[in-house]
Amino acid sequence: MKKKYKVLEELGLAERRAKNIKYGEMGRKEELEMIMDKYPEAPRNFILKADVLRRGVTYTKQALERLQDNYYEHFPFRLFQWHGMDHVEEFNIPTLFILNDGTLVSNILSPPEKDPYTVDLIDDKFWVLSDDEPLAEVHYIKRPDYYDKRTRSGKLMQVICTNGAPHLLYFCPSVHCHYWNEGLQCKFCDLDYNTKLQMKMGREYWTRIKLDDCYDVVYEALKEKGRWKQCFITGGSDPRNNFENEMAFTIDLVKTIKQAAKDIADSHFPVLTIIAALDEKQMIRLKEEAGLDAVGLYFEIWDNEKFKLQCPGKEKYVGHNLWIERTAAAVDIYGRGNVCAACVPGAEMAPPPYGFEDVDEAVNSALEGYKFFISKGIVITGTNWQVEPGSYFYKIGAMPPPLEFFVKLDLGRYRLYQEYGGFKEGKGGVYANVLQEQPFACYPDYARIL
Amino acid sequence: MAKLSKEMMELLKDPDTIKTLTTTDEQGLPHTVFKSSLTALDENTIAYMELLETCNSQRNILRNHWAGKLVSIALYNSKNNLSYQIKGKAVRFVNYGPIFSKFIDKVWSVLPQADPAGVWMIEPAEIINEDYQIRRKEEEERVLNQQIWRRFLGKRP
Repeated sequence: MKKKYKVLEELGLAERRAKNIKYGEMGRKEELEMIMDKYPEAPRNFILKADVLRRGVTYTKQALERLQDNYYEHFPFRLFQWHGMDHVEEFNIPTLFILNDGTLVSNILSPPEKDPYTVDLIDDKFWVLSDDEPLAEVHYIKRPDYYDKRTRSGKLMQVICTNGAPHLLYFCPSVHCHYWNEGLQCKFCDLDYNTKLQMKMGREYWTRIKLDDCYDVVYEALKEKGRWKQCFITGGSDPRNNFENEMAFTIDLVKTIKQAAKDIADSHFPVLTIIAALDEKQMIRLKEEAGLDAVGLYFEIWDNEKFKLQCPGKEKYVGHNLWIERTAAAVDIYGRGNVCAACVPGAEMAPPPYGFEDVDEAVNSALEGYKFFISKGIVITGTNWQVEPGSYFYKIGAMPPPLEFFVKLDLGRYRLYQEYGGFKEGKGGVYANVLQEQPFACYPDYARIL
Repeated sequence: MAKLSKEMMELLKDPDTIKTLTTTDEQGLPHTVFKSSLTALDENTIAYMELLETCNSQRNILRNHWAGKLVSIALYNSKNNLSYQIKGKAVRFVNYGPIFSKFIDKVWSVLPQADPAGVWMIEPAEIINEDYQIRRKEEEERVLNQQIWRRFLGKRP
């Protein structure tokens, strides 16, 4: 007898049962077309994005050569590597590319066994191709004016703060996560591995950045007219002293960013910070002392048992139930739409026992969590799972879930927002304003059609 | 059904108002044309004279008439900076009688060679004020927190 999936049924997604296709069982083109036919309500560019994030890309020599031009923004390797293979070559890669409808897609380099898409130049324009068939024209963003400047202490500004998306300043103040010290890092995470790799490569890179440098970057960046809208802070966790050390630094950092924005532009610069699920007093301090606008509490995966297996550090220092509880409580402090519960879409299908084997079961589990959060005025964010070198899942040979997992999950989340996001009641819908540009996941794309 | 306000009726009657009509074809493709004869007959009725019986607008309206598919009228007047969109149902086509005669007199005063098809009467279904500040406020009420997260930073002229 077929298993019942409550949320999928509620959202009208249960009838079309997902096929449990193992990675590589179906050709790239065949799988993409099959999903586009099966889910005609999903915009095709969004499906393509989900698949490009899953499979990654490879560049032709001529495309790569053109992109070395310093007109283009290049990824300064901050935070995760994102790629499916170590980027040890000298060439530069832009953080993202943009489809003609404005969809942002992360640039994920992939090895041949992932059967990636190709980016090539055709008639002097960049295109994503599948088996020599051009699928979509793509564009690259202009390098921010501040990128190659240096702070007063001589630091290269792009390493202090990257261009996370066309209008997003992206800080990663600490590229070391203390969970790695105890071997308790999340199983999908490559953070410390990537940091070591960048240092081994001799690239200009620091584990921790200083406040004065942050001030200089924001001050310089905001001189560029009509470019920046919001600021995002992420990075490794520090659970010592009940997260007080991390919190103290975050308060100072947020204050620094806001002061620089005030000094150069006389503007309120909205800041979203990713942080552990702190207790109520700490959450209030972040808001009142730092003037923080929004918090992102990354629960990573909804299923309690899978969370324990995938995120042993978070389980040890906070625990799944308390994490969820505190995320919900944060809405009373930051307001509807200013709290993010973020996950790693795809990690639900990590190899068992870490994930589920069945696509529908995995999607249904994730959507149960999304429904809980959305109905409380919480925004779902996160980045699609990448199997990155250095992560535990990479070491055990994990491969990405089928494309159908992502498309079904994206449609489900979209329908949950329509139903529970506050639009119907006319009380103001919540949907991703807080992190409206995200090349690593499809939630902001569906927000654009909500 | 929506009723036309006094301001809307004046806007429709003002010869300085720019007026367009959008219909859709079998594929759903929009077809937009200027219709300077668009005017208000009363608070429930907009009307315009179709000059060409075989034109795209006419065929689109006829094709969609049974299904009751709406047309869209856009109005802009630079004197008082008013901007509206009216979605409405083309309810009746008249090519004889007093309304027809009134329109044909007006048309022939500027286009004496015209052989108009008739007058479409349109019942307003929805009236949208397209003024930027108003629309922005509405969208900011519909989707939360835009004032915080969607503003470009930095100095402006």
